[in-house]
Formats: sequence, C-alpha cells, structure tokens
Amino acid sequence: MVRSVLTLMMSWLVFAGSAATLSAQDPATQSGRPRFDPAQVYVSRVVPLLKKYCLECHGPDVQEAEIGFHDYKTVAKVTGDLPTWTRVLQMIETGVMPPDDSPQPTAAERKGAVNDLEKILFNVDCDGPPDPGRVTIRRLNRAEYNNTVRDLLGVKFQPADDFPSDDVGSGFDNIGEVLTLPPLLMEKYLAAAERIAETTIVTDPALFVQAQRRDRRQLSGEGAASYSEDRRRWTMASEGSVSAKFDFPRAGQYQLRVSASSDPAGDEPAQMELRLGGKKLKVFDVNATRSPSTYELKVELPDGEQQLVAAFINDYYDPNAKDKSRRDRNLHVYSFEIDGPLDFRPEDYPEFHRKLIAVVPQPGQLSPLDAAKTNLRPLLNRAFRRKATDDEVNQFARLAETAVGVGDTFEQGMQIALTAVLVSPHFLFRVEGQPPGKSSPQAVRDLGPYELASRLSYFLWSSLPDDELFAAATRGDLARDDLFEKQIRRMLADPKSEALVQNFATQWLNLRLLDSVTPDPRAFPEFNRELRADMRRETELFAAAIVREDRSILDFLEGRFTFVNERLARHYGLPDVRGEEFQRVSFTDDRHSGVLTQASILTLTSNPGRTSPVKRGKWILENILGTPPPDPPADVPELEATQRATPSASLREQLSIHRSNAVCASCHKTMDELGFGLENFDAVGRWREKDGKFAVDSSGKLPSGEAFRGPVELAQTLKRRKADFGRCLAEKMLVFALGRGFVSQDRCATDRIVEELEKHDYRFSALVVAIAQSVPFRKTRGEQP
Amino acid sequence: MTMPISRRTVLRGASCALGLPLLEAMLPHSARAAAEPKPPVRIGFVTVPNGLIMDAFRPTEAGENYDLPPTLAPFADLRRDINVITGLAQDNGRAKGDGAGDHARSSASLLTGAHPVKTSGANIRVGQSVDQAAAERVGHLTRLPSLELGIDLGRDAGSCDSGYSCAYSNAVSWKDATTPMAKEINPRLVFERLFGAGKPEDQAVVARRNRVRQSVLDLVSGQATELKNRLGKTDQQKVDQYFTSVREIEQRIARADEVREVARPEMDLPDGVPGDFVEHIRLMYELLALAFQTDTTRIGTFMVANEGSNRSYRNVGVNSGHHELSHHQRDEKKIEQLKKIDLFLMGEFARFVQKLREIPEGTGTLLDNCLVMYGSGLSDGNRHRHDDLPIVLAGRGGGTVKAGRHLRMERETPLNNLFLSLLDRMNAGMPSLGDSTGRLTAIDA
Repeated sequence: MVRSVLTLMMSWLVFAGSAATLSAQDPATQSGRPRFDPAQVYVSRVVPLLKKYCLECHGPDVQEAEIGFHDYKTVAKVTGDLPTWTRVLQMIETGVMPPDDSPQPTAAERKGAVNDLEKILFNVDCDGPPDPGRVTIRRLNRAEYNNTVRDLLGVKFQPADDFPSDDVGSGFDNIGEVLTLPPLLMEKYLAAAERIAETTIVTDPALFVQAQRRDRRQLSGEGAASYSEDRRRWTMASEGSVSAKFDFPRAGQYQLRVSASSDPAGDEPAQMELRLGGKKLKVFDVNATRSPSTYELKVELPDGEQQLVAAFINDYYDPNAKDKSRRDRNLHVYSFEIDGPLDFRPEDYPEFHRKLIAVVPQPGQLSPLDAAKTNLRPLLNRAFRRKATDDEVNQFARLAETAVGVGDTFEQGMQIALTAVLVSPHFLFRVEGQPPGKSSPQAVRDLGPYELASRLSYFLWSSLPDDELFAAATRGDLARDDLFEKQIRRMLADPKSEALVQNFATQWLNLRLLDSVTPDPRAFPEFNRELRADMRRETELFAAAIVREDRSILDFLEGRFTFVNERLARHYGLPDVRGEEFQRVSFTDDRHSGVLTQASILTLTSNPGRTSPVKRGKWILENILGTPPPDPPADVPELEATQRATPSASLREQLSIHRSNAVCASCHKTMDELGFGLENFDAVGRWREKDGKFAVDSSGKLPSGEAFRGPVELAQTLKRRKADFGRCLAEKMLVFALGRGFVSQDRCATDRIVEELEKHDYRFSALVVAIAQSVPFRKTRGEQP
Repeated sequence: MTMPISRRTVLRGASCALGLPLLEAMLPHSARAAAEPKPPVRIGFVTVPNGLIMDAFRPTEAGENYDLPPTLAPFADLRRDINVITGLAQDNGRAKGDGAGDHARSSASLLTGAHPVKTSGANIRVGQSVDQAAAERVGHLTRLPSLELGIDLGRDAGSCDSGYSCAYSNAVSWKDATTPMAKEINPRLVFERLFGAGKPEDQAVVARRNRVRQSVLDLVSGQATELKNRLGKTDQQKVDQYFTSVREIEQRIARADEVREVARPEMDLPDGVPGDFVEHIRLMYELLALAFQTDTTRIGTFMVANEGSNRSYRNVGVNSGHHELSHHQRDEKKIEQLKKIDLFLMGEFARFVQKLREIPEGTGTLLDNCLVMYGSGLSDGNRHRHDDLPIVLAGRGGGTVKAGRHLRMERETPLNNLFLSLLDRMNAGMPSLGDSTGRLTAIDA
C-alpha cells in the first residue's frame, strides 16, 4: 500500500507546493552569509537524516517505490536525477514520508532538510546574478482580445466571445506556452477583423443616419385618442391627436414618418395633420385601411427638443349610412419615426471613424498612399504597442493604395488596411525580442520601455497601454521606480482594473468553476441560475473592493463585509436588503469572514448533495496556503464505502474512519480539519446548526496542534500563516502577470515580494507594485540555444 | 453562382426529427456524376469521457452472431452496420512513471497513440492525431480539411488533471505534436462555417473578399516570416503555428475555384448553444452528418464531453457527476447510474448512425461510405484502465470493411493499428502512426 501511494504522490508537480515553507526570513537568502556548498551540505546534513529515517525502507535491503538512497552517495548523483529527487523533496515537505508508523524527524530536521534539498536541487542562489526566466511570446487570449479592440478602436462589441476557449495552464488562461493558434482560431481572427473594420470605418454615410422611433405607450394621446395594446395602435374615434417629443441634435434636414391607417366613411379620406412645435407641417389623406401605410416628409429643422403631433381633423359619423361599414371615420396611428440629420457632415461620423480616417486624399495635394500613412501611423503605434517602423506603416498603407487603384473607395481601402493590422502577428502576439547577439540564458536584459508598458497594462487591465502609459514609456519614466509606481497606482485606480478581478481573481479563487457546479435540485431546489450569478458577483465585488480601496490582502481571509442583493441576502438570511442592486453590508457576527464564508466558494467546493470538508480543505491548501495536496490514489475506498459500512456515523465520524487508513491520513489530517471549520455552511453556503440529524461540530485541530471552532476562528488560524498566504498569492499573481509557469528561480523574486508585503501591512497595491518591480517582470533573457 | 435546388429543412428543437435534404443536388458531386466511380470515404471519431461499464458493453460472443449487451441495445436495428471491437489498447495513456493524471493522458493519447509530456504549461507535446494525419494528406480535397466539434468549453480555472495542462483534456485532435485543434461548440458557428451566414452571396462579393483576404494574408505572413527571424526557439514555434494557420486559409482561398461549391442547405440557422445539452449533442451530430453529406469535409471529430467531465445527466435521472460516479468502487448503485449514462450516450450515437444510413449516396447510403469510430480512452474508469477499450466502428468505408461483427482483438493490440487501416481507406496511408505496430486487418471485407 505504501508503495502504491508513494508512486502516486510522486507525480505531484515540481513547483506546486514546495515553496511555502521557505520563509522570507530564510537566513541563506540574506547576503553576507557564507556561500552554500551543495556537496558539503549534502554529505554532512542530508545524508545523516536519510540514514536515520529513510534507509530502512529505501536502502540496500528494501527499495520501496524503487527508491534506494544508498544509490545516491554524492550530490552529483542527486542533481543527476532531478525527477526522483523533486518527488523525494515533496514527500518530506508535505509530511507524507516517513509514514506515520515510522520514527518521525523533528520539525526542525524536516524544515532543514527541505531547505537544503531545495537549494541543492534547484540551485536557487539569490545572491548570484538574477535569472528573470523567459516568457514565451504571448498570443492575446479572449479577454485580452476583446479589451484590446475596445481600447484601440473605441467600439464596444466582443468578437472574441465566438473564439474557441483558451486552454489553461498553471491555473491561468494567459500562459504563452499554452496558448496555441490552430487554423480555426485564425479563421475567427480574420472574420472578426473584417467585421470590426466594416463596423468602425463608415463607407456609406447613409447607414449612419440616426433613427429615432416612438410607438405604443411612448406616444401620448389627447382628445379622443385611445390606445389598444391588442392592436398596438392609437385610435381617434373623433377628433384628437397623438404626440411624442423628439430631440433634434442639430439644425438640418430630417425625414419624418408616421405609420397610420383609417376606417373610411363619408366621401373623403381620413385626414391627418402633422404639426411640429405647434406649427402645421402637412395634411395627409390617410387612405390605408386594413394595414398601415407610411406617411412621410422631409423638413429643415432647427436643433432642440420639439413635440411632433399627428391630429385627426375630419371626424365623420353617420349612423344611418347605408353601407354599415362606412358609418364611422376613424384614424389609427402606430408609430412615429425620425431620421436625421440627413445632410451628413464630417463631424457626424462616429468618433471611432474620425480617429481612423483623420484625413482623406485630396487630388493633387494628398495621395491615397500618403493619406493612408497619416491615418495608419497612430493606429499602428497603439495596435503594436510600440513605435511602428516606417516600413510597417508603408506596408499597410500600400494595401489601401492598391485597393483604391482597383476602384475601391479610400474608406474601403482603409478597411482592408485595418483588417490586416488586426490579423498581423504584431497585433495578435505580444512580442518581446531576443536580446541582440547570441541567444543564451545568461544574456539578461532590461525590458524596453514599450515592452514593460505592455506587460504592465496586460497585467492590470488585460489590455493595451493607454495614451498616458505610452507617453510615459516614450519619456523613459518607467525606468524610474517612483514614476513607474505612480503609473501603477493610477492604473489600479482606473475602472479598467476590474480586469484584474475578472481575469486574475476569478481564476485564482476558481470562481469560474462555479458555472459548472450543479447542486442536486432535490436537495437544493432554491438554487438557480440567478442565485449562481449572484454568488459569483458577490465575490467579484468583494475582490474589487480590495483592489479599489487598496485594502489589506488579509481581508480575503478576515474581511467582515460583503456585497449582497435581495436574493442573495435572503439566501444568507440577512434582513433589510431590497432589490437587484448589490449593496455593501458589514458583519459583527461570528459567521462571516472573507471569501471563505461566501456562498460562491462554499458551493464550488461541495458535492452536488452534501458538503465536502475534504474539497474545502483542499481549496484552502491550494489557494490560500499554496500547498496543494497530492492526488489521491485511484483505488482507495472512498467515503461512500465507509458510509455503507457504518451507516449510523456522522459525516465527521465517517471521515475519521476513512482517515484511520495511514495512507489517507497523511494528507487528510490537515485537509479535513480545515474543512471542518466551515461545516456550519451547507452545500450552497447557507448557515446551519444541524447536518441532517447531527448537530454541526465545526471544530478542527491541525497537526501543529492549533485548534479552532467555526469560520471566524478558522480564518484567524489561517491569518497566523499570513506569510504563507502572502507567498501563495504572490506566486499566483506573478504567474498571471508574467504569463508563464512558476519556476524555481522565481523564489528569489517571491521572497522579496513577500518582504515588501510585510513592510506595507499587506496592502494590495504593495503586492502589485512589488510584482511589477520584480526581476522576472522587468527583465528578460535569451533562450537555451 | 447557380444554387442547386434545396429543400427547406428544419434543424431545430429537442425533437430533432431532422429531415436532411435528400435531393440529388445536395449530394456530393461525385455521387451525382456517373463518370466518377465511387463516393469518397469519410472518417469520424466520436469520443466520450471517463470510460464505460465494460460488463454492459462487451458482447460475450465474438463474430457475426454477437450479442448486444444493454449498452449496445440502441444498435438492435443497426447491428449489421457496425463492428464492435474489444481488446485494443492505448498504451501511451498509462503513467509510464508520470504518476496520476490518467484522464488527461487518456484523451491526449486516444487519437494520437503518443505519450503526452506531463506539464501544466511549458512544453505541451503529444503527437499528431489520426484525423489530422488524414487531413494533412487528403484535406485539400474538400472545402474544410477537417471539422472539430465539442459540447464543453474548456475548463477555465484551476487545473484539469493532476498537473496536466487543460489542453490535454479539452482536445482529442492534434494538428501536430504541439497544436491541439480547437473545437467548435456553438452549432450556429459550425453551420456558418460549413455553409456561410445568411443568404447565399453574390459571386462577385465572394471573389472580392477572397482577393482582399489574399492580399491581407500575403502581407501578414510576410511579417510573420520576418518576425520569426528575430525570435528564440520557443517563440518561433508559436509564430510557426500562426504561419501554418495562415497558410491553410490561403490554400483554402486558392482552391476555392477547384473545390465544387457546396450547396447551402436552406435550413433554419441554429440559434447558438442550446440550454439543453441533449439538444446540443443532437445538433452537433446533425451538423456532422450534414458536413459529410455535402462533402464539405471528409474528416471529423466530436468530443461529446471533455475528458474527466463531471456533467450530471439529469435527462436520464442521474444527478451526480459523471466523473465522480466513474470512481464507483464497485458500488452497484453508482454502476447502475453509469450504465444509464453509457446507454444514453450510445443511444445518441446510434441515432447518428441511423441518420447516416437514411441518406442515400451513390448506389447505397452515406453510412456505407463512412467509418465513424465511437470510443473512450479509458475502459474501466474506476481503475483508469487504458486497455481493452470500448470501440464501436460504424460504416463500411466504401465496402472495404466488413460490418456486423464483434471483433475480439488480442489484448494490448494498439488502437493505432486500427487508425492505420482507416487512413489506408482515405488514400492517406502512412507507414506508421504513434505506437502502431501494423494494420488491423480484422476489419477488412
């Protein structure tokens, strides 16, 4: 059994968990200490521990899991077999090895061995020349594409919603290595680019004439006018009128249209008089009977708000007329429409068009090529997030010129050029060039100002740099720490930093998985789509408050406030919240504490029919403490088997039986206990005192001896590990900020980030600033040839 | 463009009683023209996650008089049109020292026969899948080289399976070792991709757009080449993907004149992703049938769910998640629930096979010219077994496959041997693919 579980645990990823115990105060990371000699440390410090605790099962006589430490007499043997040793490190670090029934090392011995092995294996020498690692060229992901198009062109539509989903690696969907570009996506890019170009550059001004329409209850009636919802029309059985107010944006020519019909009687058609601002415009004979016709006229009008009136002016009623169907003359009005102004002027073009077509060719003065260049240069600078070269401007301008040459209009030509910009590799990828010269990992360089600006804006906004950031890059401001930090604070305060919530927080907290969670409808009939959306929104708003108000990141654990609307408040049993709008509420009770007690997290860590202390504990280990447990073996008896064997036991008792298996215990003793602290919340996050017939026991005790009862004490217990939490969050945010997986050299950077966090009371902005100031963020290097 | 006459068909609703247009004009060119001897062979791969309850799937009798265990019951009327194949393995789905992550490995290896690199980010790599091997060789003969369909978006947070990037669980089709083929999950977008949006367009409009596209793609592929020279090795790989994808669209434009225009079926455009996944699955099958029928492509894959999917099948009374159930620990209640899921998914596949059989082509039916494999990368999901995989092969591949049998293969015969035999029938023969050791001649007519 030990063998099988060990084999399984070996698969645990290298970087996933091992950093958490390397505390920021680790003396070896401070400069001025004696240099670390791996060979000497291995022989004098590691080998004795292996002999004392491990050799019995992993030695010359027995090689459990096919590992025999007698094979590793020198440090060279160790570093020559990294896969085995990273697993060994994890086994020791997580306490899985030695197994419970064997003699245990002291906490200090364990920690010492972990620190030594980390340095030996990963050669993380924070005193040497820094290694920023390398970020693979990053394709814009869906969110980034949408935001970039929005900010580049000022149009609000989301073409990327139809793109195939971006694969996730290292917990995030913006990892350069993982983002691929299959033909289907290229097809979508091309189609989206064409659509964007057609939308933003107006080739036929007539399409852009504004239309205003009023119908049904938007019209008001006077005199005999009455409205029928069934027939969606106003009827004037005797004299009366309907009217509506319109705003005419400027003086000019407008087209007015009224949709009307009549019931004919007598010897003349029903007459409808149109008046505007009290002035008579025209009288129409309304001959349409069964279905309405449109009665229209063009008029020159001044600007401002005016009342348009359609009046019935020739009522007729003869109850004795021979033809029964022609006794009563009525007028029916359905709708008013106004188009205009019709005389299109340059300033009437939408702003995004005017930005793209700042100049048009002038025969004899400005050639199509030169006009295209003038228009394209500012666009290219922003689209490529750097200064475009003359050659590039020229290439795109020629597309427009060629189009004009074969008979297209200049605007059509510019559409083609814009399409090409939007499918150019320089737009779709965020390019960071190789350092000049021979490529090698030692060739470290600072990022250029535009590269750095891009990293920053995609980190905080998931979008391109705005004009101010671009200008700051041009001025060289970003090389100065104080000015760089000033930009960061400005960007965090900008509403666009909501992207950090939408793209970082929702992935870090696994909030996006809430959509695929389906509580059992028999057990939780009140759970529905709206409630699910509310749950997600609550946590988003909570995270946004921490960002916007620059609160302590510890509020994620212990914040005593949240955001609810009426539906969610009812779900929680909170009084006095009305309406769909979310509002902030504060807590003084002992039930609510940060994200841990929010229905979103509690639901996504539950099974469809019941809570799962295991999943909740695992979520805390992974996302708060940064020490994900290894995967369970595929074939261990699970809880339900235990339950069948002992049907009378409570969930807690069942878990305890389950854990009596030594193999399971090594991880579950931490995981389950953490989860127990949240047992007062059911599988959709509502407070409860009983679980079925059992009273809820929300107490937990960690292997360290720390005990707690209920969510608030649990949060306080976690808060005591704030450095671990800070490191966990820092590592995840660094991965997101860089768009690459965490590598061992990044430990040096995270050490510093955690120090900065501590220095600044764990302020959110301190975390962001420290990440943006870190070596991996500000520098790059060449690749292994 | 003169539009062949088409008949209004309705592609809508859970009833999905779709009458595909059966007019001659809708059939592939080759089926109409007497001069062309045989309709082309189409291959498809339909994949389901989490394995099957094998006891309810595996016939006890081999050969032509095979029995239909409960999960195969939907094939009662189709047993002469399919082969049930057992005993095949996808050895590269096994850990081979990589530890946990059998689900990710099962989907990654299923159509590739290659062992995926265990990584959550850097260096994603497995191997080319059989459908893409076919597309590389014969994809140019149709308007779309291949079609990749699915139901689930990719999981977009956390990790998918034990340190494997989600790319491995979300795709079965790999263009090359490092490029998973994104799948389309929106029926409306699939339809538009196959037949265009809205009304058929004027020839002149299409010609202009193709000309414009050509000039745009010319320019940007030039930029890609130039950019590539300034980048490191890994970056170059990404730009290569860009370049390859641009090339593919360029080629498609270039052959627009050679490839016969596809008659656009005049059907209601699907609205988008249906809220009901049963309807969603049926729509995707309909679209795959339509793509084959119109010869818009000859190669398709359809992931009925992403690997490791934890969907609950409430439509058949299963409220727990599929993946959670699949670790049933021999609990009879869970096994019963799993059988319901297996039966439902198999039933939907059988509907699709039935549909293919109802479409006349040449002197027979469309099914006669198809080879559609249905299977999972795991057999026993409880213990993550990668051998004795549950495989159904529907169709006769233009008369080259003898249908109507249970073929019990020797244990550990690579599934990729079947793939080699399928490729032969596409005129896309390869000496080997993945871990193949030969051809699966047992299917031969």
